[in-house]
Amino acid sequence: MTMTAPKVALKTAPKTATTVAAERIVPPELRLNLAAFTGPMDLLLDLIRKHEIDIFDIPIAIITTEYLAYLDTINTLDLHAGDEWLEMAAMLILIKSRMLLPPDPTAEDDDAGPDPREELVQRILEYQMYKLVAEKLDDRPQLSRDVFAPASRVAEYAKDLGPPPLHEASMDDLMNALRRIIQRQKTKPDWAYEITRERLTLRHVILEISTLLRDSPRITFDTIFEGGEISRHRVVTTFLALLEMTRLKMIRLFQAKLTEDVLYIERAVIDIVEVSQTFEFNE
Amino acid sequence: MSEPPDNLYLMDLQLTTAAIEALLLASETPIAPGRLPMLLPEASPETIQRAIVELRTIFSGPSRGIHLVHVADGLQFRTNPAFSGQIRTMFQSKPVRLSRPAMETLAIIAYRQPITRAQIEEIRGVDSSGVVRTLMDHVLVESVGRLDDIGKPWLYGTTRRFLEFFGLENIADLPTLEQNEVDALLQMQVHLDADLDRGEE
Repeated sequence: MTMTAPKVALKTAPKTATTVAAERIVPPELRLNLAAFTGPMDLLLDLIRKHEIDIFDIPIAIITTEYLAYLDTINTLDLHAGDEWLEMAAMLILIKSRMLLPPDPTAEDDDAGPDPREELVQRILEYQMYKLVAEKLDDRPQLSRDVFAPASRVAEYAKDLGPPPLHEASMDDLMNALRRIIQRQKTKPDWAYEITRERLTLRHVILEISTLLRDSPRITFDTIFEGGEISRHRVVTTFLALLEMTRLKMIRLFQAKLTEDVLYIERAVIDIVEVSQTFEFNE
Repeated sequence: MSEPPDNLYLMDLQLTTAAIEALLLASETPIAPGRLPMLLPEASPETIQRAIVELRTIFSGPSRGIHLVHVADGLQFRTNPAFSGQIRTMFQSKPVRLSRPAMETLAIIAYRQPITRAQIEEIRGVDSSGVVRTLMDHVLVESVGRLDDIGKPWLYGTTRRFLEFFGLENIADLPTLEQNEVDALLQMQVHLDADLDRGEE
């Protein structure tokens, strides 16, 4: 039966061939478990619960054996078991070996030393606590899933009410804007290996941005990169220039609040070109 | 034909209540109660206070489709969670859940913020860079600074949207463990200490 089933499957429905093959290797009760654990801690907690073990007297040998059996299952299915799974396995084996050792006779007093399992127990307890509160948090009514607010409708009117609502850009917004620029350049072959080194100083870029801002009080991040060649050197220098100008309160950065990702640069001083020439910049 | 002052006050309260109700419907974001005196200069702070209490009484309970809730330090109209199914049918949308690793990580960040990624991974025992990035993409988590330590690791915290998303007034409003759950954890702690003491004898 088990021998012929895959053959039939191959003839009638080739798409399911791999599924059938997997079923043959791995008993179904193990397959179900695969995606069920978020990490080694989760698996440990589950093993402890399943065996109704007193957490302060973990039979480390049993747990280690079962843990390693689980790792084997992952490897059987040719899935990538991350470093962290192996790290935990190493820790369990270390604890197991320490439990086997007699107390150190050269120790200063009769103190048997801390239980080698103590650190593990503390970690499991802490992890369990966060799992509990995570469940509680997940049980709360969530916006746009369980409860709805009149927000989305207002977005339609936003155009008539003026420019899209902006909020002061955070470091993440600036990083994202840079990432978008880099993403667009990545396909160019020059990007990875820069051949000509642009002679571009921080002062130069600050002056360029200042000139753009003299003509219009608010520009988008992309405006800076319009026209000219976008090299890695230029992207990095521009990033530094924006940081420096923000620090000196010459400009302010805003991020469009609606889903369209636009980073705006607004001048904070009127005579920005003059101001940019008076500062000493650390090159 | 002057009306008695009581009636005048009642008029004032009714109008203020209606005005706040209108503001709440039109607002995209929660309205901080502190903004109301500025928006309604003709109403006294006491009247505004009473109007809010009035509105919270009206818009609550199972017989109302709209509830007035206090989220992210502001007031907002939200639908009664009991009718989420009908609304989702109307929008033809399926409920999306945050994955278990994401919820776990989010809880750790929420209760322990500001926290570094290494500290999160110490608790979870698993690489968490991808999950943290997902949470940042959902604007539930943001970087809030850097720790003054080797490598200057980023510190993460929850956003204002996190509060709005879970309908929390502020971070202190996070769900806590029930007394019996705390007791159980404490019990374990005592047990552990006793065990260690015995070991030292």
